[in-house]
Amino acid sequence: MVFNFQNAKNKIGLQPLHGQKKIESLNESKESFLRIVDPGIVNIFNLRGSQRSSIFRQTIKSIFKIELSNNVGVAIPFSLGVLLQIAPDEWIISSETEEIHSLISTLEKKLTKIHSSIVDVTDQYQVLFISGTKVRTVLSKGCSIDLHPNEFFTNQCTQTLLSSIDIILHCSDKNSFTILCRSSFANFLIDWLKDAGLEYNFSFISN
Amino acid sequence: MNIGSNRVSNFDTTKKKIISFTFDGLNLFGVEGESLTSALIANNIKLVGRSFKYHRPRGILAFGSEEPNALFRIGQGSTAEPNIPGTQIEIYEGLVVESQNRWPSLKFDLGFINSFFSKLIPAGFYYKTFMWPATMWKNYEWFIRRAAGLGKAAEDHNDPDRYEHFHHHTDILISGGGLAGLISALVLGKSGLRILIVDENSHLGGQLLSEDDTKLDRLKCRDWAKKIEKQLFEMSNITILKRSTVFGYHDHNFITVVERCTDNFPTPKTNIPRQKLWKIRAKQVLLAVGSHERPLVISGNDKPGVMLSNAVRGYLNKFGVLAGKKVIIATNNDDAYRTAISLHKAGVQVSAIVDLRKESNSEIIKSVKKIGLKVFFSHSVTSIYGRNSVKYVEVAPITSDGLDVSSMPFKIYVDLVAMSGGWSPSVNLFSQSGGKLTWDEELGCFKPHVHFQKEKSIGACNGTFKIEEIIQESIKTSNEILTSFGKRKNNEVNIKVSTIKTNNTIRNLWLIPNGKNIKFGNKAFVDFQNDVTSDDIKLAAREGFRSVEHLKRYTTTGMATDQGKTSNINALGILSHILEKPIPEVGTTTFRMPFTPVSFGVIGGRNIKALFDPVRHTRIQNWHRENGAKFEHVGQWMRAWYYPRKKESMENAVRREVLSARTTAGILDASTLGKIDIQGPDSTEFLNKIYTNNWSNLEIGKCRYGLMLKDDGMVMDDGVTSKLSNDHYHMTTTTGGAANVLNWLEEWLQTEWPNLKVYLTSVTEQWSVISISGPKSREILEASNCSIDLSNNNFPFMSFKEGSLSDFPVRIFRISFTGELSFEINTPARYGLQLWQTLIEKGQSFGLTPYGTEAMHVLRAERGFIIVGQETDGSVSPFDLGMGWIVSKSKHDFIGKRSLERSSMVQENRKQLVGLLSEDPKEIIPEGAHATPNPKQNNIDILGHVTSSYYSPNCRRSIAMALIKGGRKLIGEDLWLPLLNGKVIKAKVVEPIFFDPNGVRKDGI
Repeated sequence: MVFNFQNAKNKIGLQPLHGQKKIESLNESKESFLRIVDPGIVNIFNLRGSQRSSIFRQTIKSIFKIELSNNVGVAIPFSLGVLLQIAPDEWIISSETEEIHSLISTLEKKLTKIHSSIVDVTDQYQVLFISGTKVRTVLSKGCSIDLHPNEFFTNQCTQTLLSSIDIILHCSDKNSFTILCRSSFANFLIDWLKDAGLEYNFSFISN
Repeated sequence: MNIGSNRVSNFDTTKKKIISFTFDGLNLFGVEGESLTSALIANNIKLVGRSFKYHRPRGILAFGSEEPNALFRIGQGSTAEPNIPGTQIEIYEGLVVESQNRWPSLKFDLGFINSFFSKLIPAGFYYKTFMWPATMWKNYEWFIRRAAGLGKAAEDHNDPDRYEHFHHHTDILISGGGLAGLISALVLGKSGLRILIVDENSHLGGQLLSEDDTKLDRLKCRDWAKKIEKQLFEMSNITILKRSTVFGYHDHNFITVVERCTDNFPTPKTNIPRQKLWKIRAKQVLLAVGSHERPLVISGNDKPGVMLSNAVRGYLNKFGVLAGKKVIIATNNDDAYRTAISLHKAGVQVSAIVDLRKESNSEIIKSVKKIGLKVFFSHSVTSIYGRNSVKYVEVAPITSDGLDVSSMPFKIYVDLVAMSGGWSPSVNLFSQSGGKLTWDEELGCFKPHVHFQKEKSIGACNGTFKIEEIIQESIKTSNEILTSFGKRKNNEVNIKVSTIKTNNTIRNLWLIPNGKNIKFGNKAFVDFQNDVTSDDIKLAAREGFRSVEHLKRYTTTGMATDQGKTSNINALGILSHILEKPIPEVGTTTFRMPFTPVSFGVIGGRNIKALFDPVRHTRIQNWHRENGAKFEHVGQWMRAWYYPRKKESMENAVRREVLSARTTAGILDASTLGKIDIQGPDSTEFLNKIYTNNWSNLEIGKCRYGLMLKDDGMVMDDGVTSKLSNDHYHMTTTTGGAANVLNWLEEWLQTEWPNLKVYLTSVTEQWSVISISGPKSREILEASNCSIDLSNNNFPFMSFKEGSLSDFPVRIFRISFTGELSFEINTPARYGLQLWQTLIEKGQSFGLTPYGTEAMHVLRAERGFIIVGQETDGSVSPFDLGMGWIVSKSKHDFIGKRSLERSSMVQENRKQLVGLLSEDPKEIIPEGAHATPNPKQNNIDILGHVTSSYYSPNCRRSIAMALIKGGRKLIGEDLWLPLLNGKVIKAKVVEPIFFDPNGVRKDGI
C-alpha cells in the first residue's frame, strides 16, 4: 500500500541533510575531483516479488518497458528512473520525478493478485550522487568490495558497507555513483565522505 | 656544509640535495634519499643508543628492517614517535632525532650500572626475585614498569596526523621489489592481470641496490633495477606501492600493508594522510621478501662498530658511506667476501678475512686472494674489545669440533667488524599464511615447505640465493601462475647475468668459542634488542626451559619490535647444541604479525573522534538540540533524554515532564521505534508463529500488543502490530531490537518457513513518530486541524486511523506506553520536524510539554510496563513477568512454545517480576542492587536484583521493579538491599504496578 500524500501537496518535505551548508569547497579555483550532490527528495520504492512468476515479469515489462535480469546486482534504467536488483526477490525503484507515483499505483493494481509487495521507502533513505575522477578511490577508503572499473561498472549495484554504514551503491556512470543510506545515517555519511575526500578537492552541493 | 667525513672519496654532491637534521641536539648534514643510519655513519656517529636491560652502548648493526639497536625517537611534540629503526627513516630537512633509553646522556648513562649487576639479573630474574614478600609486589611493580620499554611516547597525545584505510583487490600481490619481484612482474605484467608490487624502500631493486659486482643485461644491477621500475610504472595494470611494508598475512589471502605516505617530508601537504593501511585481497600472493643476515655469536659482538657484513656493503654501495677505516671480516660463508672486495675497491683497509670454514674454492675466494687480502680459514674472531666503539679483536684458530680454540688468539687492531653468520630466508609472512617450514641442512636455514594458501615464495626467502637461480625460479614460478590464471606463458624474459661466482657452503657454529670464560662486559649477544646473551640461553636450558616456546618466553628472545629477525635462528642453534638435538627437532617459535611495527594511528585510521561510530539522529533532532535537550545514547541513536529549563537539575526536569504528561500532556519523539512492513497472504499465520498470542481474530484497523520469544522461551522483543488490510500489517519493535528482529524474522522465513508467502520491509525511518500523551492530548489534536474524529467511540483504544493533521498526512495509533490517553502520530519522515513544531505551537496553550526518554521510563514504570532489555535479560519468560495472559493456550505452535513447557519454566522459585517500595519513600534503590531475605546474614543469599528504579512524582515516592526468586509469593513481605557503601535498604514486595492499577486513564475519562 502506498501512503496517500494528497493532503500534503502544499507542504515542503525536509530531507535529513536539510540545513547543511550548500556548497563547501576547499579551493574553488581548482578543478573539483570529487563532487557530492544531495538531490533532495528522490522517490524510492521497495518491490518484492518472484521472478518465477510470469505475471510478475510480464507486469514489470509492461509498466517499466524493461526486461528483468536474472542476476542480483544489476541496475536497469527505465524512462523515469532506475530499477536496482538487490536480492533475488527484491528491487529498489528509484526516480526523481513525481510521475513515478502513477506508475507505482498501476503496478500495485496489476500485482494485487499475485504475492508481491510494494512499499514506499522514500523517506527511509537519503540519496547522494557522488562523482569525480577520484570517486572510486574515496569510496575504497571505506568500502571493501572491488570497485575497479572492470569489476564494478556502469549499471551495477550492490548492498555493502561504507565505513560502518549499510548502503546501496549504484554505479551510474564510469566515475559516478549513487549512494542510498538510511536517512538517520545521512549526516554521519556526509561527514565521513567530506573527511575521506579532504585529500582531494571536493565540493558538496545541497538542494 | 660538512655532510660527514665517512663518505667514499668520489662522493658526488653536486646532484644531491643537502639535508640538515639534528641528533640529540647536534646539527648534522646528510644527503636526500639516504637513511638516517647512513647519515649517522657518514657523520662518524657510532654510538646511537643504549640497550634495553644493561644499558650497554650500541651502534648500528643492520641495513634494513631487521635493525635491533638503532632505534630512535623521531619528531617532537605531538608527532613524536618512539622506537623507529633508523634504517627505515629517510632523512628530511629539519628531522629531529633523539636516542633512547639513556639518562642523563647517551655517552654518560647512569643505567649502565645495570651492567655491573648483570650476574644478578639474568634471564627470568624477575620471576625469581620479586616473589616475596608478596606485599612488596606493588613496590617492585612500580620500578619494573619504570624500567620497561625503550622509547617514550609523545607527551602530547593529540596526534595531529591523518591516517587512512584503503581497500584494494588484485590478481597478484608481489611482496618485495628486489630481483625476484622485478623478474616476476616482468613475466606477469604483459598478461593484463592486476598486479600490485609492495616494497619497503623508496626505490625498487632490494639487494640489487647494494651490489657493485653484478651486471644484468650489461647494465650495473642498480641501473637495471631503475630501468625495470620505470618500465613497470608505465604499465597500467601494475600498481607499485613503495615505502610500504606487508606486515600481516591473514586468512583467504587477506594482506595488510602500511604505506608511509609523508614520513619522508618535512612539512607534509595539508590533508594528505601520514600513513595508509591497505587491506588487500589477492587471488595469488608471490612472496619475494628476501633474507636476513645472521650475526655471529662472538664475545663482545654488540659493540658499536660491529655490523652485519651485508649492511657494511649496503651503506657503501647504495649510499657511498664507509662504516670504518680498518675492517676485519668475520664469516662462515662466501657472501662476506663480496663486502671485502667492495671495501677494498673503496680504499678501505681490510685487515683480514677470518672464515670459520676449513676451505672454500669458489671463484670469489680466488678473486679476494688475487687482490692480496689475507684469508684465515678455520679461524674466527673470538672476542671483540672496546668501550663505545671497537678497538681491537682477538682472532684464533677453531678446533674442528668447533668447541674450542686450537691455539692462543692474536690481536688485530680494527675499528669495524663486518660479520656474517649466514642467511635466514625471511619466512615470517610465509609462516603467517599458515605455511610449514623445513630445515635445509646444506644451506643452514629454514625455508618454505608446505604452502597453505594461494601463495608462492621465490628468491632468497625461498632459500634460493644465487642470482641466476633466482632469475630462473622467478620466471618458472611466474609462468606457473600465468597458467593457473588461464593465461599463456611468457618466455620473453631472458636476463643476461654477469656476476662473480660464489658457492653456498656454510659452517654454522652457533656460539664462537674464545678459549676462556667470558669476562665481565664481553658477553656474546644473541638477541640485541632484548639483551639476551648466550649465557641466558644456557641458563634457561639448564633450568628446564627446553621447549623453544618456553625458551622464548623465559629469556624474551625474539620478542621485541624486531621480532627476532637477527636472533631467532642463533638462539635455536645454541639450544639445539645444548640439547644435543638437531634443529628441526627443536622447532621454531610462531611468527606473528606485525612483521614490522605498526602505529596505532594507522590502525585507527579514520575511525576516531566524531567518526568513531555512526551516530543516528531522528528528523526532529534539530528542534531537540535548539531547545536545550540533553541526549542519551540508545544503541547508535541519540535520543532526547530530558529538556532542562534554565539551571534546572535533571531530577527536577524529569519530575516536571512526568507530571505534565499526567496532568496536561507531554510530547515525545518516538521515531526510533523499529517498524516493519509485513505483506502477503500468510502474514497472519506468520504473526501467529512469531508472537505468543493469537492474531487470527484481529480486525482491520486494530492494533495488538505482542511478545516475541526466542526458541528457548525467553522474551526477545515486544511491540504493537496493526492490521492495515487483510494481508498487510505494520509491526513495531523496540528501538534497540529493530535490526535484530528483522534479521530474526527473515531467518525464520527463509530457512524454516519458505512456504509462507510473506514479504518484510523495514520502514523504521520512513516514519517520524510523535507521541502525545496526557489528559489534554485529544484537545490538542482537535485544535490542530485533525481530519479524524478522535472520540472514544469512533477511535477506540488499540486502533488506528489515517487522515491529516494540520494538513500533514498522518496515521494515528491509539496506543499508550504511559497509561494516559495517548496518540502515536506517524507521518512520512520528511514532515516530522514541521509537524512536531506545529504541535508544539498548537499545544502551548494546553500546557503541552516535551518529554525525553527518562520521563518516558518513569511513566511506563508507574504503570508497570516492562522494557525488554531492562526487565528482561534473555533468561526471563512471559510467566516470570506475570504476563501469562499473553501466551495463547489454543494456538498450535509459536516460537518458544515447546520451551515454555519444560519443567524448569514452571518452578516456583524462578525469578519473577515484582514491585519494591523502599521503607523510606524518598530513598531511591539503585538499579542493579541485589535483594536478600535477611540483612544480618554474612553469607548473603541473593534473591534477585532491581531492574528499574525511579522517583515517581505521581506516586510521590520512589518505586522500583525487581526480578526476585519466587517473587509472587513474597508480595507483602519485606526484603533488604545491601549497598556497596554498607547501607542496607529495607523494602516491601508489592505488585509491579504503582499508578492507575485498573488502567482507566487510557481513555482520558
